[in-house]
Amino acid sequence: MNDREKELVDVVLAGKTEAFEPLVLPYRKSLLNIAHRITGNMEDAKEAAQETLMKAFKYLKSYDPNRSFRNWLFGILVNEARNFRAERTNAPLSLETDEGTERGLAANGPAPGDAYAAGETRSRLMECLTVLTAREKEVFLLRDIEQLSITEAAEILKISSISVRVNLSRARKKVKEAILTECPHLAEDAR
Amino acid sequence: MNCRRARRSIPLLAGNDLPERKARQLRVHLERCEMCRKTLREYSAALRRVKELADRETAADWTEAEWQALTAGTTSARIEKRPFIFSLFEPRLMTFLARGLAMVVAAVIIGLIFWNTVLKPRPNPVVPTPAYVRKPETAPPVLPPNLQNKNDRKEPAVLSQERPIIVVQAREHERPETRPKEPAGAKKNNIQDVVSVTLVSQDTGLKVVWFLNRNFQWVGEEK
Repeated sequence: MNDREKELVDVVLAGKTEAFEPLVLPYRKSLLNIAHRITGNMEDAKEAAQETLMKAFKYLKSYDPNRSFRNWLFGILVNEARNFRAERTNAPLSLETDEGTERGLAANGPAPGDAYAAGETRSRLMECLTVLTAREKEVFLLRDIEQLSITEAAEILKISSISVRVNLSRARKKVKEAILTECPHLAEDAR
Repeated sequence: MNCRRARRSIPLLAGNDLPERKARQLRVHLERCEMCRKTLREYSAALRRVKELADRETAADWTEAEWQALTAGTTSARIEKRPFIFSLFEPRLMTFLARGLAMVVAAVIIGLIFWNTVLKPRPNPVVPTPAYVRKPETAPPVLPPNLQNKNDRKEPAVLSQERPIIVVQAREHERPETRPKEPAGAKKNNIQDVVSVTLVSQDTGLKVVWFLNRNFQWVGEEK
């Protein structure tokens, strides 16, 4: 934690809540992007990031200044994003629509082109990451996309460095194979 | 290092995540193995490609209005204050105290169990009166005249049924008249043929001596 962050935390805790915005501003994009890649959905990502900021503010008193503020914030974010992903995965798929008929779903559902236009289609990178397990994806995102160190990733995910290395090794192997077999359009430069 | 072991470590070497000692061993292997070098190149290229793609796609961002609304909404919440009791103690101290308390409770429970099962003084158990002390259902045997007492009691004494103390004295009887007469000319032997049993009531002090023959049949009593 740098001195400026420590100073800002003290100011917020002293009651000047407007200091919270400059405290989290450096992580504005990272929060959204990590959440987006874990949840796979921009709407959930925004909600997860919002929950993260609210919890960070609410529990700032329990934050240990000896730890990295970024790692503490990302730890909350990963947990929130996991919750949103789990809710999305466990949500029952209902065919009931306003009219209560399958015909109604077909009539009211978005056309594929519309969904693409809304930016909700998966990115090419996320297509490749679908081959990974949840843990492998989290490790890969933090280490290879966000460029955090092994130790930082372990601290955020609350697992050992060895576990991070094992998951990272598996993830890289799967991603390499996915690029060569399932996403050949990405492999053009890699060959 | 052989190729099999090398290929397990190559994914980590591609991202410079291998400890220095292992990385050195792997590089020695790579210098003489073309196949493993090719594998390493594939991993490095794939990682590079993914990073490029991520950089290009990292366009997701809040609009300025969204961000301002978000931070304003966030800071309107109240900062959660820790309860007063937690502010008195550090988390480590609290953990230590909780563990100590748990150990004390466990020690008290174990002590109580041990006291109840082993150490606690117990009253002497009530010994049921043996059947032979009780009043016989059948008529008592006819006593020999020399053993009948003055009161001419025909029934054996009934002792206190609570805690009779029974003293068994295995000895030849002193009184010669209690001994059955030996036939004339019979060789005298020292085999004991009369046994007396002394019963003393702890409550009343009543003492009764029973005489039994060699077959343990009751032959008389003395009060």
